[in-house]
Amino acid sequence: MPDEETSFDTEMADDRDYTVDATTVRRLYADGVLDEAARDAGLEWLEYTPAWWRWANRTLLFTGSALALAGVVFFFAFNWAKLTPLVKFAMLETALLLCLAAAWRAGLDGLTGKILTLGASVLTGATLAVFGQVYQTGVDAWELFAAWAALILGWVVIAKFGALWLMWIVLVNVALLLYWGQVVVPGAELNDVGRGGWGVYVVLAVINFIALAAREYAVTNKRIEWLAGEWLRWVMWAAVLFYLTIPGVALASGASQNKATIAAGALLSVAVAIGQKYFRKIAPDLFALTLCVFSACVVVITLIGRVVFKFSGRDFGAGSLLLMGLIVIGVFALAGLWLRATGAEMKGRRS
Amino acid sequence: MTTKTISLDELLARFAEKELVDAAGAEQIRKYVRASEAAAANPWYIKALLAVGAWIAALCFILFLLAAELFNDLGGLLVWGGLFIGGAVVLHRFAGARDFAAQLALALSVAGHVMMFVWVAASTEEFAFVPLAALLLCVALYPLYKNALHRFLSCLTAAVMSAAWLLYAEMPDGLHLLVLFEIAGVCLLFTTRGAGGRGWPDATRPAAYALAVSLLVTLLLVVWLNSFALANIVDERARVFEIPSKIILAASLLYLCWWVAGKLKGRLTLLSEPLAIAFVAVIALGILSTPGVLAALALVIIGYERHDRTLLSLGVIFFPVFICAFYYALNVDLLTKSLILIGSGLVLLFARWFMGKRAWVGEGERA
Repeated sequence: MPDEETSFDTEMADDRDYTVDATTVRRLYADGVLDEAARDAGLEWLEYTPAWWRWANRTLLFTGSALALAGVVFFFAFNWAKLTPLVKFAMLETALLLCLAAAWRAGLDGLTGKILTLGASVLTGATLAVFGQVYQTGVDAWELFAAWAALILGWVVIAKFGALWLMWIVLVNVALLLYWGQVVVPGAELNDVGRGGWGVYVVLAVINFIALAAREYAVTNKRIEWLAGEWLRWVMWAAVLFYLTIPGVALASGASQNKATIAAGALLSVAVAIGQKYFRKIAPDLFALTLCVFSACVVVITLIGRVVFKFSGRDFGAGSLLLMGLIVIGVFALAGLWLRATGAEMKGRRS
Repeated sequence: MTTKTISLDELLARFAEKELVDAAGAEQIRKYVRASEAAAANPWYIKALLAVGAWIAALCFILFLLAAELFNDLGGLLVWGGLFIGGAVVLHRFAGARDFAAQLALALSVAGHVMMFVWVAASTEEFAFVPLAALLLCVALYPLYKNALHRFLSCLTAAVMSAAWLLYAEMPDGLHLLVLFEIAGVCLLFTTRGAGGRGWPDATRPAAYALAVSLLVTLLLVVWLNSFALANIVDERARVFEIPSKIILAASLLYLCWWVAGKLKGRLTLLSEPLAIAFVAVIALGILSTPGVLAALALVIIGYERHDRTLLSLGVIFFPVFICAFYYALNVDLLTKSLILIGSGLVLLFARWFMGKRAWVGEGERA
């Protein structure tokens, strides 16, 4: 949708011919540029076939299943005392078996079978949680998540479903986070810098990076369609950068300088360099590049802030704050300028 | 959706041949397509990056003024706030889209807004005037500061400040009025073509997106108000009764179904079976579900129909966010919440199953 900033840029004469499709015609109508007769004629020339049912079919299946599964999790979290353990297990295991039977009947090539497998995977976790509630096993929380991830691994492999694959990676992340706090550094929370809490960030960043690299390899070299959704790349790339930026900021600000933060700082530099090259040249993706730039901006500004406040004589002096404000503007303005130029360059290469 | 692509010149030539568009209309189309292409080069996430930069810089400027002891009294806040906002308007007007100047102007404006709000709150000792000040600044600056990001932030601030004031003043039922205003604004600006049927001006688009985002923020605030976070702060009587918002949002969903059906007219008429099924499903959701689910569905439908990935993504991302927040709501127990979610899910799955069995499925696709 055009706005003032872009209209300003487009006042110049432009003789380039553009490519249009049905979406352009429908937008022209929605924004009052075309009337109904012109819209209908345009859509006919462009051989437009609406796909409302296909979209509604997928949307109703996804949202309906997600809401129902969330409801099941809420139900067992309620731990209703009136239900005996036998009834609880019977309910969960019947639902699980029904999901699996229905998935087998529907086949794993279609969306319905994949969603049913996802449902069975969620119900497996609920069953483990109820098992812990009923028998008070005393196991650590990380063991529940690790067991959950292990039990559904087979389904993850055969279902060939991006959402299930991502759920499995999230389970591994949670299991590892809890393992770190409960076993590696007992009692340490993520922000417990002094007790080695930072180390888990580096491990998680590496794991997510490996998962992302595997996804990129599978999609680019093996043409694996079920991993092709860009959102999978964005979630994993955001996770990698998040896990590295937090200790990176701690290192840049001087709040924590230990092996873990130094490793995170080094890995962040590598990740930004790889991301800049990969998402610009090899698999052009402006959103992934923006995440990369944002991460770099945050660490660079923290580092500059540290230097500015160190040399200003007294911490947080007025002059230093004014200077920092201008530096922040400069850094983000440069980032925006570079991203827009890169976006234009990518678009130029595509057309 | 399937479609082929042709060149803009070819499309315009065909329009001219059939006398569907005159020379002025063709120029307008050309200009629109050019502007759309340029807009695609400045997507929302780059604007969001710049907004984060502006907020951090604004914080530095405010701290600078505090450290320099430039406002030790309330008058100082008013003067500096006014100077910052005025300076931002002038800078933006003269520097235009140059990156550093645009970013500086935005940061100055954000800092100026914060100072004005603090001044209003401190001088009147009444929080009610803060959303009013935000609204006045939004209305005054909208035509003066012609920047989409500034307009979006300005409208969003006014709406979120209003919601915060309603919570602060323990008038949570007022949130329903706010929800009504927000969803009505979203429907009006995204689904109608304005007075005269010539489409809404580009300038209204930031306000439309701000209303969509503030609708979601308001609904999250409703859940938050009913949650552990405010359990010991807000009186139990001040907790929000969700039914009015559910009615408002279910009515909006009914309107959106009618709107979509109208766009497919000739194939799906108002009284046709698919629309009737959609109406029954929406009414069932209105009874069973919760406002967050209804609002997310509304944005998803508008986003899909308008090919607007921003709205579509907002709706999709809001589902998990809302469900997580809903888990902590205290106004209903987990059992009731689970029944609400399972019921909502089953309504949608049943609608899908039932529609899948009908002979007319695919009619829209084939037409």
